[in-house]
Amino acid sequence: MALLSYILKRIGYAALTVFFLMVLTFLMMQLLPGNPFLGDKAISQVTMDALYAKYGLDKPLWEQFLIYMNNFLHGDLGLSIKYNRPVNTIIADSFPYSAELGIRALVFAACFGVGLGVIAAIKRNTGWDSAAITLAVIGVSIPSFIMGALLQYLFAVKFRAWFGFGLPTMGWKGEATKILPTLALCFGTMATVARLTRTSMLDVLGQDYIKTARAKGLTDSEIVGRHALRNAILPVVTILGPTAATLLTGTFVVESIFNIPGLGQFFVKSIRENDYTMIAGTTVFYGIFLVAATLVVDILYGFIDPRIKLTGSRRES
Amino acid sequence: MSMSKAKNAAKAAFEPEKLLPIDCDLSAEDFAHVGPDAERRDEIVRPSISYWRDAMRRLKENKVAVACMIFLVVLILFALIVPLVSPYTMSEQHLQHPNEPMFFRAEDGHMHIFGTDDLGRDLFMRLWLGTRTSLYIAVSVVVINLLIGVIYGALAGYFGGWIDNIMMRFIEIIIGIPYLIIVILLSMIMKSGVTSLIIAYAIVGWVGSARLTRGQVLSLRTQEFIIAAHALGSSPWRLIGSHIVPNLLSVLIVNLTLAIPSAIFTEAFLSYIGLGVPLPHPSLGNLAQEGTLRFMFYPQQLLLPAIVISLTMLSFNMLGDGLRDALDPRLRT
Repeated sequence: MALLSYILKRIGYAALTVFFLMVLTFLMMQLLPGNPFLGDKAISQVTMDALYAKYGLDKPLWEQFLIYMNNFLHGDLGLSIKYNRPVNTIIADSFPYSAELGIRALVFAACFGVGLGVIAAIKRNTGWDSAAITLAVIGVSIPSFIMGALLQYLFAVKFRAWFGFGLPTMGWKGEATKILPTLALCFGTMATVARLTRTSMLDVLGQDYIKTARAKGLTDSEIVGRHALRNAILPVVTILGPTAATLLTGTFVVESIFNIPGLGQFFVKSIRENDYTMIAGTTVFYGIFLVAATLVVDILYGFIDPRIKLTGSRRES
Repeated sequence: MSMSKAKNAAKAAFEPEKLLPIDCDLSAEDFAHVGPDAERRDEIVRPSISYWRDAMRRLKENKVAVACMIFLVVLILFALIVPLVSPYTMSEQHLQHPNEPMFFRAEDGHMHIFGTDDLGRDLFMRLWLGTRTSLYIAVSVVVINLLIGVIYGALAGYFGGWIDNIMMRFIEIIIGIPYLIIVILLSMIMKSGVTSLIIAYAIVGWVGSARLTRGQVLSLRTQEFIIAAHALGSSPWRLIGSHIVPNLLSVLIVNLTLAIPSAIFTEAFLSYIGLGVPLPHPSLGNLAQEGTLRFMFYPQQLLLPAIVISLTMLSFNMLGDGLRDALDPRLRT
């Protein structure tokens, strides 16, 4: 029962957050400087009025907002002013690229991050440990756009010069083109996961039930695999929500650097081009996506780890 | 064996008859038992070590944190001094010398230590001015966020009850939105520039420190010294200002140090996607963005700002970890 009311409460907050975001986005769009119709050629006042009427920009603010909300509730995010295509279609076309990139990066970061963290914790205070920590600290300190450019330089330019072959740096066709963007995007997350895994693994390894397992004569690999790891990766689940946000903003730059036709690149472009409806639509889409991701992670965590109190507020990331 | 021998010797040495010269007039009656001195007894011989001095001592033992601190001081000095003494200005173009390598010497005898960019602007000057801009933005953002967050969180935690409930519900709602998306929206409607970047970040960035402060205040509130101060009639402002905030300081300092790298990252990210510091004014993000355009041919133009960004973030992170260990020994792992 407590779980059910907790879930309902969280869904309520999520809905409020989305509404708040929509109001905010809508108001922002009204305050934006510039005019989407001011292009290279001068437009007469009559044409301008007609354009305003076509996109509903001549109506009073509250009416525009109601229309916007109504359309949104019917799943319509409006028409992109620059591309003259429905924002829904653009998102549907480009988001799969971003999602694929994000999921690849997430899986990679989770596997290697947990692996690194476990190795560092088991071989505590050895060369392995310091190497893993150094890698983790460097990973946290290098922004993904610099990582992307460095990877391009190293694996495309330098490798070609040294070994006669290199990895492709542009586009999203074929496995080879996907390696570098995934690496660039996942490095920071991998480092965070590794640090967290190491801390929680060290905590778990000091628990009494590990001593019991050792006293029973289990081998080290059995202890780690069956008893320690399961408990140690629990806290890692909590950062999946914030990680979704990190990866998502990471796609903005990584897609621009590697020229991947994903939604992140579209978003950055539409900001530069003052494409009101596109920005509003994409922001709301991203907002809902992230709110949903956090919600799912928080609820899942309640099932995975029954020890946490569901009545408490969300955990610190 | 040797111990008991030494004891016997000492006993023998203290026999007054043997110690005093034969012709001495002193006798046992000339001495009186003084008893303990009431004043001297309470005197503390060693200087007491304050909490901050103790923390400093622990911090000094942490070699990595000290190295990071020294690096940051040197970095700040360079960022402050180089733009003042450089023979070039930030936008001065030497079109006859574009994209020159490091340590390039022009005909007029001036050296471009880090070379020039595609417009022939001196990169040494631009890099340090950019570092100054980025640090200025990061530090102001973090300080403003901290002030707002501490006031908000302290009020919510102190008053509790329905006030706390409403204030926290508000935070619950806005924390769901990633701050970077709001910063992007805000920096679009404001005229791009350093000030609007700071304002945009400050509007959304205080939530974390507000939650942190509230949690700390809630746990402090029930402690005896707060109840005592309350019983003695302290006003809420006095309670918050002179009892709660000083106890929060260590947590907040660590939070501040660890928030700076993320602020540097945000500035670099926004400048990179074209919403940050407007050109030609340099910032670390701008320089990195310009560097990526040409790094295939002139890698130093990207590597230099990249190294500064990464080392600065690294140092603040390590210093923050060190400070946390030093300020709160209970948390040490």
